[in-house]
Amino acid sequence: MSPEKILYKTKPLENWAWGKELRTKHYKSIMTAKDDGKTLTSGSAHARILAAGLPNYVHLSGEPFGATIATMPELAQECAEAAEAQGFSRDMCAYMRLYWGASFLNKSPWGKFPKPDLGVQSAICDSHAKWHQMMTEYMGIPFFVVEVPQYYPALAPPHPSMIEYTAEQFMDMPPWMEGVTGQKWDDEKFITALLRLNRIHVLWAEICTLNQNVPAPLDLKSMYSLYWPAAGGDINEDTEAFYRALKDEVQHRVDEGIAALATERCRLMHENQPPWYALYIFRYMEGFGAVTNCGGYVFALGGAFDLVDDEQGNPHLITETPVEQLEPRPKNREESMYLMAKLHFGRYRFVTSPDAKRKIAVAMADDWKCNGAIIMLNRGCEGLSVGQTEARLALIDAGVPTMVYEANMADKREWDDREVRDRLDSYMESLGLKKLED
Amino acid sequence: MSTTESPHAEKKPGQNTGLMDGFRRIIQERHDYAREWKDRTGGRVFGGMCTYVPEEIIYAAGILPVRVLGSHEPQDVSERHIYAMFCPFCRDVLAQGLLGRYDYLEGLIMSHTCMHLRQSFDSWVTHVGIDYFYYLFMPQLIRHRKARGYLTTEFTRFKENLEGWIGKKISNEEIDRAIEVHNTNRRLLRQIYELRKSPNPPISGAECMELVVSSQLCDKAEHNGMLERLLKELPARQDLPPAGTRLMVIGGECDDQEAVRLVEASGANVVADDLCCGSRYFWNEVIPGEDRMSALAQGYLNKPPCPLKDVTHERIRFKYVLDMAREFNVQGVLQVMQKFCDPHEFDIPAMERFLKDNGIPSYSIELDVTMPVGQLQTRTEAFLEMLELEI
Repeated sequence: MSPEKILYKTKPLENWAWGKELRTKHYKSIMTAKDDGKTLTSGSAHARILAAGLPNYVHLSGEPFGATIATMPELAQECAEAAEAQGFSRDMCAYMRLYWGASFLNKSPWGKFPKPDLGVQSAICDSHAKWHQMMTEYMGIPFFVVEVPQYYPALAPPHPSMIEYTAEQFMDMPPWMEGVTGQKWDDEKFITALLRLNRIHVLWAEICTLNQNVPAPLDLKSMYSLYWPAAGGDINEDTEAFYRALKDEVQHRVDEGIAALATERCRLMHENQPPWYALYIFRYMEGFGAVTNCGGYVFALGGAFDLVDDEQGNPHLITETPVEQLEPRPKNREESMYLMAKLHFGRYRFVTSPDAKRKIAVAMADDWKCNGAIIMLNRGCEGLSVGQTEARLALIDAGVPTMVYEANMADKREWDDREVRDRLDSYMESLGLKKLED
Repeated sequence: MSTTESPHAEKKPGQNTGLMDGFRRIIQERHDYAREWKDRTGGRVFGGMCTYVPEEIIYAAGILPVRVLGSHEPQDVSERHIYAMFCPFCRDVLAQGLLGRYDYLEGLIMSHTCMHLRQSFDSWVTHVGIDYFYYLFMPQLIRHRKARGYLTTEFTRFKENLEGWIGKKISNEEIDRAIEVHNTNRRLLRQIYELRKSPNPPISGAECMELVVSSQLCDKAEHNGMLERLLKELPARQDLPPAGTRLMVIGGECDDQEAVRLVEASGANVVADDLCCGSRYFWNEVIPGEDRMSALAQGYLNKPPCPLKDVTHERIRFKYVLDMAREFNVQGVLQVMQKFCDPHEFDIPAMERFLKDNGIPSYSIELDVTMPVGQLQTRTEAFLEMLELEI
C-alpha cells in the first residue's frame, strides 16, 4: 500500500469501443438469427463451442444474457418474478431465473425473447444441466447435454478416464447436431474454432497477468466488460483480433506507466461475480484510492490459467501455453473432441473446486500484489460461491485483510446499498485509507 | 457366514423386545454403536457422504460404512466454512465433523452428487483430522451408454486405492459376500415396503424411515437379522398405525423421522416415498456379475435417481415416482426439500405439474435443521383437508 500521494498518468482505453461493438454485433446476430438463416443454439457461455462445427450458428449464452438483464433492474425484477410465478425459488441461479423469466414473458433487452432452435450444455456445475433441461422442455426444442466429471484436485488430479468419458460424450454431438438441424458437421471448422478459442483464452490470461503491474493498467470494473467476448461472445477472427489489440494496448499502458486509477494507493481483489446493477461500488472504492485489479470470476471464465505450486509450496496462477504450441493440430473428430475434453478439465476446476479456489485466491492476492480482498457472498450463484468462505479463511491465514458482503449478482431485490457502503467504509478505514480529496 | 449373521450377535445394541426399539436405538446412539462395533470387531469405520458411495467395496474391505448425517440441532460452528445459503443438511453434516462427533472415523468418502455437499466434504478435508479421504464422481447421465464403463473405472480406482490404504487385496469372494449382504438388506427392506401396499399397513412411514436410516448406520448383517425378525413379527402386530390419508413423501435428504411422525399424526399414513433415506437408498438390487466392479456400477446407476442424476428429457425420476404412487395407491404426494436445495428446487414445480396431470395432488414443504412444529402441522393438515375434499 502506498501512502504517498502519487498521481499516475491515466487515459481511456482505445479498444473500449471495439469491445462494445463486438457485443452489439453478437446480440444483433442473435436477434436476427432466424432471418439470417442461422441456427440459434443456447446453453451456458462455455457451451457455445459445442456447436462450432455447424456451418452457420450463433449461440445465446445463458449467463451473459442474464447478466445483461441484471443491469436493467426493472426488467430483471419482472423476469425474476415471472420465474417465481412458475414456482421456482428465489435462491436458485439468478442468471437462470432471468433467462427463464425473459422466456416466459417473451421479452429481452432488445425486443422479444430470441427462442433458440436447440439447447446444448456441458454440465460444469449442478445448475447448468437442470437449467436447460427445464428450459428446452418448456420451449419444446431438442437438448444435448454432456457432463464433465468433478474431481477434487487436492486429493488427486483428473484421471485419464474422466477426460475419455467426457470426450466420448462429445463424440455423440456431431451426429446429434446433424440429426436435429439437417446440417453437415464441419470438423475442420470445429477444430479451427476450438484452437482459436484457446488462443483467445490465453490472450485474456496474458492481459489479466499484465495487471500484476503497479500501477494496474486495468480496473476490474472495466475488465467485467472486456472479458465478455472471451467468456461468452462469438468465436471468430474479429474477437481474436480484438484481444491481440487489447493485449498490445495494455502492454503499452504498462510500459508507459498508464494507470486505470490515477490515485492508486491500494490494490484489491474482488472474488465472485459483481452485483451487475451496482457496479458503482467499484468507483466508490476508487474514491479511497483503491483499485480492484483482479478476481477469479473474470480470470477463470475467460482466461487459460494454470495453478502451480512453487518450490516452497506457494500457489501461483500462470498463463497456459496455447495448446497448438504443445501438441499437433487434431487430425480428426476423435482427436478434436478429446482435446476439447482436456481443455474443459483444465479450466473448470476454477469454477467448482473449493480446494482449487482457495489456492487461487491466495495466489492472486500474492501475484497481483493485493493489499486486501473483497468477497461477494453470492446468493445468486451456488457454483461460484462454493469455496468462498474457505477462501476467506485461507486469505486471512495468508495475512490478507478480507471483507465479505452478501448480495445477489443479478437480483437487485437482495441489494442493501447502505449495508455494503458501510462495510466498505469500515474496511477502507481498517486498511488505513481515507476518502481522497485529490 | 450367512447374510444375517454377525460375528458379535450376542451383543447387538439394537436387540430388545420392542418392535422398533432396536432400529430406533441405532439411530439415536449411532456414535456409540460405531464405537462399540469397533471395540468388538477391531474393525475400522468409514463415513459416507451421499447414498451413491459404494458401500459394498468398503464393507468388503472389512470396514463398516456409515452414512454421515446431521443431528438436527442448532449449531454455530459451520457458518465460517459454509455459506448460509447452502442447504442446512450440508452445514449440519459439517458441524458433526467440526464438533468431533465422528472422531472414530478412519475415512470419509464422497461420491459427487451436489456442490453443497462437495463444500461440506472440502471443509471436512481441511479441518477435520481423518486419515483417509476419497472423492469419486458419480455420473449424472446415468443412462448414457458410456456411464457404466466410466463408473466401473471409478469404482475400480477406489477399490485399488482402498487396497493400498488397508495394505491388502480385496478378494472377489469378499466383494461377493458384501454384495449379497447388501442385496439381502435391500430385499428385506423392499419386502417390508410391500406390506405398505395393504389398505391398513402394519408399519408407519416414520417407522419405515427408521428402518432405512438405521440400515445406513450399522452393520448390514446385523440389520438383516433385525429385519427378518421384524418381518416375522409384523403380521401379528396389534398396535397397527392408525389408518389415514395415504401419502407418498418425495424429495431431498430427509432423515427427520419426527417430521414424518408429525405428518402422520395429522391424519396421514405415509405409505411410500422417494427419498435418499427411503426407497432411493435400497430399491434396486445389484445384479452380480463376473466383473464385480461393473456389476456394482450398474447397480448404482440403476438406483432411482435424485434430481441431479436426472437431467435429460427422459425424466426417469418422474416415471419412478408416478409408478410408485400408483402401486402404493397414494392419494397425495408431499414434496419435502432441504431449504436452499437447488436440485430439488428445479424438480418441484415440474413434478407438481406432472403429478397433477396424472391426477395426483401434491404439496411442497421446506425442511431445515430444526423443524417448526406448528407450521409443519398446520400446512400438513391443510393439505390433508384439501385431499379429503378432492376424495
